[in-house]
Amino acid sequence: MSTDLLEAPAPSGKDPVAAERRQLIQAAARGTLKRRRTVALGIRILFGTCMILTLVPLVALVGYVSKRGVGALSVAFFTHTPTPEGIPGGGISNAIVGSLLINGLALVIAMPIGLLVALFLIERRGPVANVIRFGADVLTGIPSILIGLFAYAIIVAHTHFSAYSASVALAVLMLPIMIRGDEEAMRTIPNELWEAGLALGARQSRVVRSVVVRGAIPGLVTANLLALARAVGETAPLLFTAIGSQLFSLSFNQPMNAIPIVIYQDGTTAFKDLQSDAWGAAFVLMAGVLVLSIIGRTFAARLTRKSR
Amino acid sequence: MFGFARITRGTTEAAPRRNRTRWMLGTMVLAGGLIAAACGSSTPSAAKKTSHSASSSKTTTTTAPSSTSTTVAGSTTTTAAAGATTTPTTAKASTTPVTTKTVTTTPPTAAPTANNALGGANDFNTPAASLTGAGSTFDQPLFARQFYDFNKSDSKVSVNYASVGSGTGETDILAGSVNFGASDVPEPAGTTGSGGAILQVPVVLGGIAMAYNEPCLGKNVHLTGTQIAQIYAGKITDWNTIDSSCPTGSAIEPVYRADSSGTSNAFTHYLTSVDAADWPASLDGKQPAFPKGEGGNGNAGVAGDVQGGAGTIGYVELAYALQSGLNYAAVENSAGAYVVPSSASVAADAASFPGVSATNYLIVNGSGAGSYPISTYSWVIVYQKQSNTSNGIALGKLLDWMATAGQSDSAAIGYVPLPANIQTLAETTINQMQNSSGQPLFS
Amino acid sequence: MVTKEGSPRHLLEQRRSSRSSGRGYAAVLWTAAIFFVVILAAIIEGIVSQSTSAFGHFGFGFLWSTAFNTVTNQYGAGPFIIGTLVITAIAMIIAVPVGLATASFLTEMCPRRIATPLGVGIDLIAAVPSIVVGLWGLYVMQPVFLRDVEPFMQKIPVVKLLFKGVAEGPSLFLAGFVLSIMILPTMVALTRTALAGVGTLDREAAFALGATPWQVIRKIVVPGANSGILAAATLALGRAVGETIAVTLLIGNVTRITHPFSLLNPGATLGSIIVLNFGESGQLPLLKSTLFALAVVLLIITIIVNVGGRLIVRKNRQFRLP
Repeated sequence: MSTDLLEAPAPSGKDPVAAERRQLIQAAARGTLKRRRTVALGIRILFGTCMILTLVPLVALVGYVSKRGVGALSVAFFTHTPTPEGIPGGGISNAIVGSLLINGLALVIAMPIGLLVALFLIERRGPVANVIRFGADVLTGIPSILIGLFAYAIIVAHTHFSAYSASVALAVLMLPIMIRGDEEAMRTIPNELWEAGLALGARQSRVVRSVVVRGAIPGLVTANLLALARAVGETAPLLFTAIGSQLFSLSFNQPMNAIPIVIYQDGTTAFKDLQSDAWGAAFVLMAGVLVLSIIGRTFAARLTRKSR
Repeated sequence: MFGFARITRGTTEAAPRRNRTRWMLGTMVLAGGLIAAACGSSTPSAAKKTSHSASSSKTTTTTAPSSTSTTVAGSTTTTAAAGATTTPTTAKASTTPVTTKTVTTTPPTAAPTANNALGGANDFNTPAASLTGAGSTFDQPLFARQFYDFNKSDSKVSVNYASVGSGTGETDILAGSVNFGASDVPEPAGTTGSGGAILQVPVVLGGIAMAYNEPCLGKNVHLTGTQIAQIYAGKITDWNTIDSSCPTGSAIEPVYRADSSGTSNAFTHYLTSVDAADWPASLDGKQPAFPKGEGGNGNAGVAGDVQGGAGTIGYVELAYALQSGLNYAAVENSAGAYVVPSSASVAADAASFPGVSATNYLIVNGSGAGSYPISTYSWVIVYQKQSNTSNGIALGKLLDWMATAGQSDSAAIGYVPLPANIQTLAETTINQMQNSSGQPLFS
Repeated sequence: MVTKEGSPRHLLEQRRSSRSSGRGYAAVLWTAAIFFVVILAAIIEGIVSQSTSAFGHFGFGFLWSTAFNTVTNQYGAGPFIIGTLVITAIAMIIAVPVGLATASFLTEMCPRRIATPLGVGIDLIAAVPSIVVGLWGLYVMQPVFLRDVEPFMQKIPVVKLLFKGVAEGPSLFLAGFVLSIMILPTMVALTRTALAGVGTLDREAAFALGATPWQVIRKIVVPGANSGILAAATLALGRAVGETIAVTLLIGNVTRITHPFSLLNPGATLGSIIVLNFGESGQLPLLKSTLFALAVVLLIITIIVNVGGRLIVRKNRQFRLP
């Protein structure tokens, strides 16, 4: 490929100066070819090593969590509340239910707002839309601990620790991802469909409901699932709002246990029972987030395949 | 415009998938909404009934076990009595049988103001209550056992205890956000919170072990108070100085409490009283500025840091050292003997301080050849005037049981049963609890 | 989908906007939009308002003061800003080159059949929650670092100046390293997207001229993807700055600055100090206000990183190869 040109015989031309110059250039190129090839090979090895260095800790992480986590799983693990150290048979049922409830409520809060704001961004251009888009991007980058502090300052400080304040914090966390993702998803709906709907005399809102949102459902689901995957794993906001509990509770107005809290609190103790609970919880959390991400990406892949 | 939908269905291939997705989303939202709506209130019975369906018939912890049949006539709440009585699956030595308990006192159908004297050891005649507490991590292992055992005998009372440290516990009870606080350092006399005057009940006595993680040392390395002070001051940095069986260069890493801690208070007070030169009084307190080492969060965090590090040493309640499998030191006491923390040695130390009260609470460095010098009591803080009478009665009886019959859990896990005079002090203090109009809760 | 002037939809929209049936819908959207802006403002207001008493008490010296004493009620942000900067620097120094190299390898030097699943795998691992990574770092990496890595670093000629003292366990270096593992997948994924965005025409032209893959990367792909790579690095930096929980587990939670400075010292970051001290700040209103003040500092740093990154990317785009 690249060497063919170098080894090709010089085109026979009548101009000896040009021919000589051509031979000089080709000789120079031939001379450097070896060096360039060696360098390229060296770089290839170096970068390949970098890639292996990237993969090794990540694979080790997943492997270690799985190994320690699976060993901690049992039926009791999923169905019992925590027991004191030294008394076997404890589990994290209250944390699993707590995580489901808190994240469920957060989804219920965030999904409609995210969808409506995304629709707003699609409908309108102008300064307000730009501000919102910029704000969403900045909000994505804000550390989750600050959002936990925010929820503490406006809810918990005036009332008490509760699960719904945790849901509010997680909803705020999910919102920017949903907004941008929903917007991207709905932008893939081709113009023609919008115009067809409007041409048939439908109202704007009808077009949006029946055409755009319906058509963009895979993208919307992706955006929401990815937002959920991120919120499920967050610990810091929960520590300031729901703070955890040893009791099995379904009340949103009381502190509630959640899986990340279990991992954080039990993982830093020196008690073997609690440590094993923490690893089991870590495995459940990691597996759950991976499953959500995989489902989200599958939807996204289907969406891109469809639009092609 | 219904024809619309038909047109769009033709253009997108995702029709069957779209409906399925919508079903999933809708069901999720509905389910979440239903659950949230149905369980909006936090009545204990509601929590118990739902926990009943979620947990199997094995023993659960501080929430209601699946069935307890009490023959208290007309009790205000009945737990769902489906299934056999629970049999603990653990081979715990002293299992209180969870069966029918005939109670001889009058049934508390009416507003339980005219309820009971403190019945002492086996009084499980309490109103239903779901209590929250926060505070000392020193107490947490014992509290966990006690709340668990109490709930097995009396499923009407469930307790959620947040082990956040003495400082935070004091904050929380004074702010009124919990039913009780727990601290190794009682509040000064005359302290009031949002609910008025407070009562401080001694419920725990324990020793602070110097746990360490250094393979070259034996099981109970000998340490003097001065050595401990110098380790934490950074003046001794090599285990070889302490014990020549360690090679030189074995670095010592002291671990301390980074949060506000009653355990720190007792520990630093001990250091100041045995080696004021290396550990001045300015470093005596709940959250002093430790000059060297790493900070852990709570007794559990310190134990975790000691266990996870190398050459580490930290001060934790004995139960933490025992349950984590950490070695702990034999500390030189005031009589010059090297004593290992144990039920007996801590009790000996406590015995040399007979006049303990909430204003005179430090018991470090006691006299006696068998005393373990680093020991402390721990106190539960409640409001004298209980705004909720049921909670107040349940709380009082719980504390009373904890100070008396509940002490049978102590020795097994690394605490010390309260001496008789302290039990009396506890009961006297509990008897001072009043309802919201100032009348005594217990006759 | 942008409304082009004069397009059928735009004309319809113009006609539509006068119909009252569209107004309700527009009102709903506007409400949602304004609600979102209100949330943003509330976040900033909620944090800033609680911090004013600390700033008022300590003034601007707060930012570099190294005091932290709950007894004398003297606080400063110095050690925590330094801690945040140090571990972020360590994480970026490790993650950016390695991430760039990995992404280049995956896009240029690896057959598509292997590269795609590997890329997807790395993307998925990017989603692993940070608490899990932190726990793994605590149980697996800390002992390894304590026993092997840190003594090893103390032997390397120039580097060892940064590694004075004795390895204690939790340290700035450990926290920085685990942080780099956390931001590495983000860096790789985004850089891959950026590199893949360079047109194949440019690449093939270079190959046709006899360039090796390395030369193609160096001269064509990376300059072409400049803005994308910067964007990726900025996002990675933002994530590193904001990472709290995992760092809390690994950094040792020490509020003093140890002399001499060494990467083996334990320390604290803005996030970790807030997490660990928040619960007991109830009785100390000045401490609580201080923690909110530290949150404000963290917020400012985050916004600078985010906004600055976007500005750099935007400016760079003007100079991209045509």
